[in-house]
Amino acid sequence: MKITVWGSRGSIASAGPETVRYGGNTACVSVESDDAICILDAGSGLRRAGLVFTGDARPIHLLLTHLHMDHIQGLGFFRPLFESGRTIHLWGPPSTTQDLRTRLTRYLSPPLFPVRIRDFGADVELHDAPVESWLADGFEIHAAALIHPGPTLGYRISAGGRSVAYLSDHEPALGGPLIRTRWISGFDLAVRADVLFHDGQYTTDEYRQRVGWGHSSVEQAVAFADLAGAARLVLFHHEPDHDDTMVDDMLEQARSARQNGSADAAREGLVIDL
Amino acid sequence: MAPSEVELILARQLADGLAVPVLLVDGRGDTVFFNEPAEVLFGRRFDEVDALPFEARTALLAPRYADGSPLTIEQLPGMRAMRERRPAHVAFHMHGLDGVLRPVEATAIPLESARGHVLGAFVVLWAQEAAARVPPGAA
Ligand SMILES: [Zn+2]
Ligand SMILES: [Zn+2]
Repeated sequence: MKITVWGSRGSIASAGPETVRYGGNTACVSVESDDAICILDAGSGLRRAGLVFTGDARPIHLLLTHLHMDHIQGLGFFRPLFESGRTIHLWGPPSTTQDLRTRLTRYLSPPLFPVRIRDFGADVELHDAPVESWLADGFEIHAAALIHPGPTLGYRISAGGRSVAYLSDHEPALGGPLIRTRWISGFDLAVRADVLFHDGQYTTDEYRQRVGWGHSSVEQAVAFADLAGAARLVLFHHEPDHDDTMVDDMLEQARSARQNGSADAAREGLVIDL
Repeated sequence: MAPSEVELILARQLADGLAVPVLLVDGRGDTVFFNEPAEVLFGRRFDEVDALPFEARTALLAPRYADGSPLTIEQLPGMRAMRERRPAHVAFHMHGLDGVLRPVEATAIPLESARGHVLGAFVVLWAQEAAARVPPGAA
């Protein structure tokens, strides 16, 4: 399994000299095996991933956590979508009111975007992420609903006895104190994961001002990772107003707070081989 | 024990902060939580009930008719709400912490997830005495 970070930022892209090390692109992480490519979220980082995966014959599964703009904005700029004869599977959170196509079309149609889904060259197959885990070209994928405004999923991808959990936008603390595992949102996705990408957007002080916005503090991300026994925590969804030095400081805090595992902060270009 | 669905987690957090007695059941009708105001009605603390197996817990919490006979599982408000996928209102009696058998009414709302699955029910309880405490004109 090869994991690559293409976008680590939350909420809105924030390119500039002050964010150059961790990167300004929004949420996008790829997970590759010899047989397939899974891409978690379609933030602005997806554009660069598309340049690399163009012409790659492996099947692509795009897994969307939810449809906030920072997670879908890269879709229309993903080159493989314009490769005719290619099939791309797009998975997303189900809703009883409107299907995935209808909701995505709100963005992928004029006046917000010039091209419609049906006009992409590739054959795009949309799927509601099922409740039970499923197999996608050798990857076992498990999706579960998370605490975040609107229908939102977290994913766990496993292959060859290794697993990566991806909970990009998540506020488990809204469900109560992070103590009793049965009552913690997203817990089963993260249990003993080798790598856990988790929302770590805020400092503790910032979180106090933004309870209910759907994101976590570094302190909460660490508590969640320790409870779940995740080996390597990767802080994700960096606050757009945080510069590289700030993220350095937050990472330092995470490293010293972790009790049974390591901590890292997602940066564009980060590659993890599992 | 398996982690709860996110909708149940949020419902529990809401119930925990309310002054009205609330009981939360999961999709199979098991009592997964009740708040402190409900502890008074049930005559039990949630933590002691939580440790019991499903059958024992259900028997212990069983609401009764005025003549003392228990409601069947199907008659329980949460079960009705989930089965009919609409709110259910049921009146019954319960023994409280003080040993007194008192009339209680319950309204259960089915919790249906965005994925279209019935995950459980949010059951609000009213004891007659509690209702009498509401100040007049405080509508
Ligand atoms: Zn986001
Ligand atoms: Zn979001």
